[in-house]
Amino acid sequence: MTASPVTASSVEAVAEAPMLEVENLEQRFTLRSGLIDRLGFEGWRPRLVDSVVHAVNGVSFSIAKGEVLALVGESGCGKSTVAKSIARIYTPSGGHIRIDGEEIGGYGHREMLPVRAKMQMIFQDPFASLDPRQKVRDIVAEPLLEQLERRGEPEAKKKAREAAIALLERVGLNAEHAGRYPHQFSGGQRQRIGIARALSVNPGLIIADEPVSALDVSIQAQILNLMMDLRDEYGLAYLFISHDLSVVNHIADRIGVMYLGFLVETAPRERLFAAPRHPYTRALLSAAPTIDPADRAVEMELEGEVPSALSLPSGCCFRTRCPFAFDRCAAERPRLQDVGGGQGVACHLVDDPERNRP
Amino acid sequence: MDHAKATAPLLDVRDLRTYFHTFSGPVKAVDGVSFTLAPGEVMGLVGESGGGKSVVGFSLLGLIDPPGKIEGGAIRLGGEDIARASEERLRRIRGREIAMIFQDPMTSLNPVRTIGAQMDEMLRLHTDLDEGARKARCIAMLESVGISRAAERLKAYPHQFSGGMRQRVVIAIALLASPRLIVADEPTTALDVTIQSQILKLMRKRIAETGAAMILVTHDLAVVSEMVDKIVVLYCGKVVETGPAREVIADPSHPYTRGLVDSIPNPKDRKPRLAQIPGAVPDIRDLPSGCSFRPRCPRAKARCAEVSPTLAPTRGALQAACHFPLVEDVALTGGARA
Amino acid sequence: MNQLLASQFVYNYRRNVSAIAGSAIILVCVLIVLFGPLVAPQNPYDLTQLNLLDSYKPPAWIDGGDPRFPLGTDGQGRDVLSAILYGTRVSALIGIAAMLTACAIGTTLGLLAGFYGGRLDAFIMRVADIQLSFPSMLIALFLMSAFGTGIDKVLIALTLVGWVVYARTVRGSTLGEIQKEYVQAARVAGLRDGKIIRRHVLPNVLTPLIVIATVQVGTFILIEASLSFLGVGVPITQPSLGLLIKNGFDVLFSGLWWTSVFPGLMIMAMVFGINLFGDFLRDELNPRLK
Repeated sequence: MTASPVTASSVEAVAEAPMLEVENLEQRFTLRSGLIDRLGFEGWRPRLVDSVVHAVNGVSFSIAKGEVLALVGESGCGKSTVAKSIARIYTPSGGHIRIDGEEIGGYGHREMLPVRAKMQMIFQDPFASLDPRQKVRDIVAEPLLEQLERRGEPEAKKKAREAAIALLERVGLNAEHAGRYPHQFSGGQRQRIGIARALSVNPGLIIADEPVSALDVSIQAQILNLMMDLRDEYGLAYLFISHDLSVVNHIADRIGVMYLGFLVETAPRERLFAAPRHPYTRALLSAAPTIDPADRAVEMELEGEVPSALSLPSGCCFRTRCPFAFDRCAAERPRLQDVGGGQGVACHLVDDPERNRP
Repeated sequence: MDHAKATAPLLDVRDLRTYFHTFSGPVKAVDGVSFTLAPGEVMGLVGESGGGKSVVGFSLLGLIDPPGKIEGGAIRLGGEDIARASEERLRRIRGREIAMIFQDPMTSLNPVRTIGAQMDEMLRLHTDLDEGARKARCIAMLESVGISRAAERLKAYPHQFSGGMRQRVVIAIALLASPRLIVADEPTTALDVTIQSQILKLMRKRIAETGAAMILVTHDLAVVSEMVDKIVVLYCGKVVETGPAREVIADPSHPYTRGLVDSIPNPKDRKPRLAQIPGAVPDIRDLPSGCSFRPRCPRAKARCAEVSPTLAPTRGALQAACHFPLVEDVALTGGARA
Repeated sequence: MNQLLASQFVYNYRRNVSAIAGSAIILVCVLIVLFGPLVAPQNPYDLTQLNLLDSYKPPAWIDGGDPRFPLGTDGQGRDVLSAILYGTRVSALIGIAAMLTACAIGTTLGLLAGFYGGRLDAFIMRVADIQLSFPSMLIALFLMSAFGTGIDKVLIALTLVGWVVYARTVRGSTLGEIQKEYVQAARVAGLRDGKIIRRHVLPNVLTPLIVIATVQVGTFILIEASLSFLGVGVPITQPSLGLLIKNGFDVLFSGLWWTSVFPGLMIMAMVFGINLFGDFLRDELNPRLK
């Protein structure tokens, strides 16, 4: 049930449909500001201009059943947006999302409801992700209650609440907690409540958006252990969003690295840490602080900061900070290409290894 | 502590107690914290949220507002006890003697004044340079923290800078008046890793150059291990362990520090399960009897509930507040425990 | 934390003299509204109980006063105290009822504007802006002269004047709440928009409304009194405090001051009490002041 040979989990190799398949996902947001802010001039003629944020620009990946895929990157790289587009909190601007083989990209609320039984989400902020005015048992029961009501089951509320209590016990809380309000719990306990809520419909896929980054380290370990136990127990697949490489290294089977809305590299965990190919991945790995001084091999130092998603650079998204950038990088956008061993890299250096020297 | 005796300490904090008086009784956010800092030394003040580490930082600068109050203890900066200094004196000390770098640069930069005006104010308050000299100093300082076109940037407002750049400006302002001590409260927590590594590198370099001492307040052991000479670990307002950074992180003697270090995933030694500290930090208004860590501690015995442990040498240069510290025969005692 | 908050609330209340005074006045007013007619010496609108011979008796403690009429009588021999007890009821009920309808309508529009945004938001908020640019008294006067008088007309006018403040406040808080992850979690749980708004957003935007609603009852009482004083408010058969003042106003300068002054004092006390308590609530419930 645990780590199936994930390296071989390219789409064709697996007979059954992957739990999640994302193809060319795009997500743009139009900044709806006031009339005055949108007013622009073309010569002398006034016109309305919308600023568009290119949050996700054609991201493709898939997650097999029981697999943990982590998306890493810095703030503004679009990893959380990917998560929320898949969870259909946002309506994707383009591309395909398939849950268990079913295309959900164009689904409306009614069609999404059955899909929500297969896919749930854990949120980042343990304080904002629980409704402060709801009792814990109602918070945990909510997704299940919607499903039971959809199926028209009698006594849906009672059944959902009973299930909620069992779930609270499973995540390390107890039945007495069910009647309390979220503010009576610590951050770690609240995150457990959020996990119980996600589990209530017995989903195959859980999207976890930075689930431990708001927690203290000792609590972080508790939650990561719980998530791994649950994966073994229920055969869950996770889409795990994080900025913390040490956490990702612990939990992921496969890792995707995002930058400015692009997936720049994807590889099985060990391979990514041992042999990163994309310059950004290499920089990210060398920038991460470690407690072990022996690990401190500073290979690469990045200059500058991430460009604005309002106006993407031409060609490669990373070229403005890349120490290896050459003329082709400005002219042509690199595509994610297979370099073997389940690793994919979106970088022109793959074709031109000679330049790969500082 | 031993090496601190060789040179006169720059900062000597003795039994610092900072309480917050709420209507449900005093909250002992800092309860008897002592440490010393030699000139030029870099110290890490670590612990989880609720440990009291930020309150220690704020106490040093006299920035505790009611209902909070420094109830007792001494903060000796070069011999002068600033815990009892007047607000007037504290204003002179802040910036000139002790500078602070906050987590969110937006809170320490005034959003409606230019960077140049804010830097100039610092120099006007604490030096007697003339206008031209002040401006030259500001430009030089901005350049030294890696901000290009510094003369132009003096006219910019904080919102025109990105998060990383703003933190560089904050560091520049902190260093302007050549303070003897810099208190940095989670200076890189709000930043991305690649920016964090830039800022840490910058701080390390600039602070070494100026010879200032620094207290780095952080929850992140990895950041600490890259930056500091010595570590003070806080738990529930008390120091539980202190010692040279390398030793504290490689082989801590207090079970809490051990748990903290072990719960960080180690890429080299990837285990299916992380070591975890059970339970959660207790409510500081309702601490357990004896040792505060007792309910979460795998080594706790009856004595831990009765007597609150005090800081004592354990092994090497380490000191811990623990009745049953992890000493050499750690495996033996660990196995014999039942 | 809730217990802490609750007890902190009580703790602060007990140390706040003006809050205690305000709530005491409010309590008296509530008692008058509930039991006024029961304790009133006479029913001032039952013509059979009135005697023209008793007209313009001064308050009981003044020479010529009659102990049956502690605060004197008006031109029809009506007991001023009884009229005030009845009139307070009319004034307070109009204030409260108008507040409730304004709150319901304003909150609904604010929720919709904040939750859906876009054109609906723009439309609702522009209407609100336009309305805010006129003095509320002027709008109420205009509406009353268009509708004609009557308690129902007063209610409509006050509601139309009062919804804006709720809509704006609720829209603002809604914009904040829908950014929070618990609203996203409700979406992921599969809730319809309507359910998300009712079950999650609404309970979380109500707190600031308590203050607004409290103070607004006072404002409404004043506006209603002004309208009635100007003769476009409640009908003569159900006189509010404002109408009592008007009725006495004609003879105010002939020395028969009590028919106007006592109802006026009653309005003042009521609004003063409400504002005192409202200020306390504002300080307590506003997290920014903590």
